[in-house]
Amino acid sequence: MGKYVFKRLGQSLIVVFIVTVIVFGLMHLLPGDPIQIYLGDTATEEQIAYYTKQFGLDQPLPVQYIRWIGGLFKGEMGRSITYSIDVKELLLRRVASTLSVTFPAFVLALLIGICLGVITSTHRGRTLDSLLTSIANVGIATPAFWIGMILVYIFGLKLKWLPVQGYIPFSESPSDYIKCLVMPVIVLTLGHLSSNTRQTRSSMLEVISQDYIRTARSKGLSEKTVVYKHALRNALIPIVTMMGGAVGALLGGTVVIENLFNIPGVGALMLTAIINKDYMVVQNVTFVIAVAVVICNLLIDILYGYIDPRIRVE
Amino acid sequence: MKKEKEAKVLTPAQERRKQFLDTFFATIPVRIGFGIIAVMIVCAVFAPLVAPYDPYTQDLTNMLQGMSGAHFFGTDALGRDLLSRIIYGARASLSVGLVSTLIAGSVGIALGLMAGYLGKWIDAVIMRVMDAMMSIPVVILALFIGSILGKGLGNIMLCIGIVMMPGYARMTRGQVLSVKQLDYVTAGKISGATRMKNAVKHILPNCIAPNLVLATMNLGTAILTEAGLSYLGMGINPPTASWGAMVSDGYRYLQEYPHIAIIPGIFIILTVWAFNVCGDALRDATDPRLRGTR
Repeated sequence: MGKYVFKRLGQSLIVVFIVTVIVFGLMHLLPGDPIQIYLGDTATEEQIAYYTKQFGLDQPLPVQYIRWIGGLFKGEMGRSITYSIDVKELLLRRVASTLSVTFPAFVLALLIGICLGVITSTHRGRTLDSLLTSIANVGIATPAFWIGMILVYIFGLKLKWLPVQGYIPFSESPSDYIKCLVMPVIVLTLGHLSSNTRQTRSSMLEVISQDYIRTARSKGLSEKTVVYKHALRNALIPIVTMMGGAVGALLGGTVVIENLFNIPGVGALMLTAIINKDYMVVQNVTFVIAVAVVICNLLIDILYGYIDPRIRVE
Repeated sequence: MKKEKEAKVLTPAQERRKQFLDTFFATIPVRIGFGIIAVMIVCAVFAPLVAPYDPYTQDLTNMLQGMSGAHFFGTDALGRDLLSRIIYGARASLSVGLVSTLIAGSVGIALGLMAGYLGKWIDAVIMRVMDAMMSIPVVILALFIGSILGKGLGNIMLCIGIVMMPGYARMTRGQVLSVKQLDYVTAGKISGATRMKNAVKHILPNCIAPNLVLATMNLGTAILTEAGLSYLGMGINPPTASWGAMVSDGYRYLQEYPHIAIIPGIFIILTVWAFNVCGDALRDATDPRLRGTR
């Protein structure tokens, strides 16, 4: 097991290193000069040269890369060109609103998705199964921005129950904070909820056809015990192993959701930073997201390496 | 009596084909989905013949019209006929889906084949790069690549193709690892086949079926990604009709004219749903063990 953990850790570090190379390389392939974008068309050559030196962009690319990585090891993320503040500070300011949307969406999508998956698999072939599976299929095919718009139209513009856009911190007004988050959380939850439902259903159906489930039933165990204690525990393995990817997808999804609902989070920051070529912001935010995904995948793999020896051997 | 005679003369290949088609078209949603795809393809191919108006002609005297006999889905803020733009939008969405899937599939399969068959450091390098690409969220990676390549139909196809590539590489590698242990591959080696010939002639054909299923499912994902990028303003260049961009444009008029944003969205959902349902059916038809599990 120790060898397995060591191997997975090594692979994860290599993946993180490759991510830094890809992100750094892609950022510097983007057309346009970030300093020129920041200063505007009226900037003089002296001003451009001054700021280029200030942000270290006059250095050769390998030097810039090593400086960035060296800074990360010291916990420094450099300065944002657009916002003129430390990227770490910028990230800390924005992360609360992003987590306020992604965390509830992650939990809700997981819990409701698993429950609906169990219900559909235990009612296979019946009306309830057909109905829920059809809804899940439509949910996967629906663009998040479109469903967000429909909610805005119904609950924001017509019924006026919820604010159309914006974000109010919890410290300012807890009730407004919740009102602001209802629609973004629902939108982000729906897509993932649908895929979790489908995944749980298919996983449960595969497990239910196994011999040990038949044995459990023939022992006279109640259907509830068979489903929840024997089938679901094994069916959850592929769902939990996919959670690392789900974390990345949720964080990626915030780019669209925060843009739609005008939430000042990390996703909205990423979009602005890519448009403005704000090197340090894009590099560091992508790095943080990729590290979060890699750590989730690593922890899940190690956890299941312990629980299920088959995964360890594979 | 005549039908019985026809059934008897079926060759094994015809029998297999019939069984495949029977399984594929077994459920009503698949038949509906297949019909939707067929209609979309006809609209995309024959858009100039099917569309009632030119999708780019602006008519400012007729802007923001509701549904009527003259304009079935109404008009947008520039007075362009929405139905015509949706029909032309099908062309953009389907071509993005198809070409980006082809790019992702061909490059991904080639990389997966190399990684799985050659193994050692080539496998390690290719798969770690694929893992790294997969650890960056699709939207963010697509935004990156899209910004580098720039807007436009061709660039969006390439961008989405690159983003979807790791899935094919992973799947093909897994297939290759299991197939290369089989006796006939070893026999090929012994009989003097070159590594290239062995990989392409003996291993590759066995990796096509699961990749074909993945490709069908990815068609929907590609269409959704294009719509998302166009919604964020990083997709297809205006005035080219794109369903995602149409939803984005319609958002500004949501309160008074919600149909401008709602209708193109319904077409995205229908098309993506149809591809997903057909992808599921294709997988079930090629792998009988999974029949009815999804």
